[in-house]
Amino acid sequence: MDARMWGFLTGIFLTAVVVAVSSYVRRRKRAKSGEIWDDSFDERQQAARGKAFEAAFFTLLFYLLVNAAVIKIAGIWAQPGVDGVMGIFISIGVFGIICIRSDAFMTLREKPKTYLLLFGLVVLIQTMASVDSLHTFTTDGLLNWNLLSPVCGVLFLILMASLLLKMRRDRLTDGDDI
Amino acid sequence: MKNLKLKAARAAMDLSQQELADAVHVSRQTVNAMEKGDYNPSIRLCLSICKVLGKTLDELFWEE
Repeated sequence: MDARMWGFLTGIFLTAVVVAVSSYVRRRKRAKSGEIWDDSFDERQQAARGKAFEAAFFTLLFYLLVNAAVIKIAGIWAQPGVDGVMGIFISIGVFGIICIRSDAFMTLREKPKTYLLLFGLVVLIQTMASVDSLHTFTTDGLLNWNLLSPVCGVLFLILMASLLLKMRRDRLTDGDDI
Repeated sequence: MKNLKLKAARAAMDLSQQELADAVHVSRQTVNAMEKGDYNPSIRLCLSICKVLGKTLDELFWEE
């Protein structure tokens, strides 16, 4: 296994540890305070998320179709797996943007600021990873795995911008209704 | 079509959208969407809202 794969696996492992520890700490804190925490989506949000899943699914299908046509006509343009992950990023982006626009991204008790912080952190990490691998986005004329860091960073930047725009629009339009 | 009856009943009880949303376990945006007429709630949610606001289904959701 090369250094990149070790880095990839270490990243996944550390993320799992951070998520597990933080959720354990939060659960214990809530149990001590007797607070009831609702981590669910309401019925409108569930319906909106269903539509977002549908849109993301068809986006992925369309992408795979276009990708297959491009490969057939112009030849392979990326290393194996890279084109697939790009499609996953695009469909995740579609899902995220639709959910954010329809107020179905966060559960009932989650705060937008938490997600802004999280998205910002991902953008920062991916930017640092991109700078590290700058100018090495191709191998033998094919786009390689290094490209996925900036693409992931851009994806989360777009999600962050969508969330900020949504928060601003809510403040402007719902101000007198709250 | 806007549900002005719901908005009026909520205002009469001096509840904010967030307070009503918390009482019936939905998001504030869902209450907002119902008042704007952008979302048709399920019968279960309608009943929860009626109980919190002390109104009948007809009084809040029946269109004349």
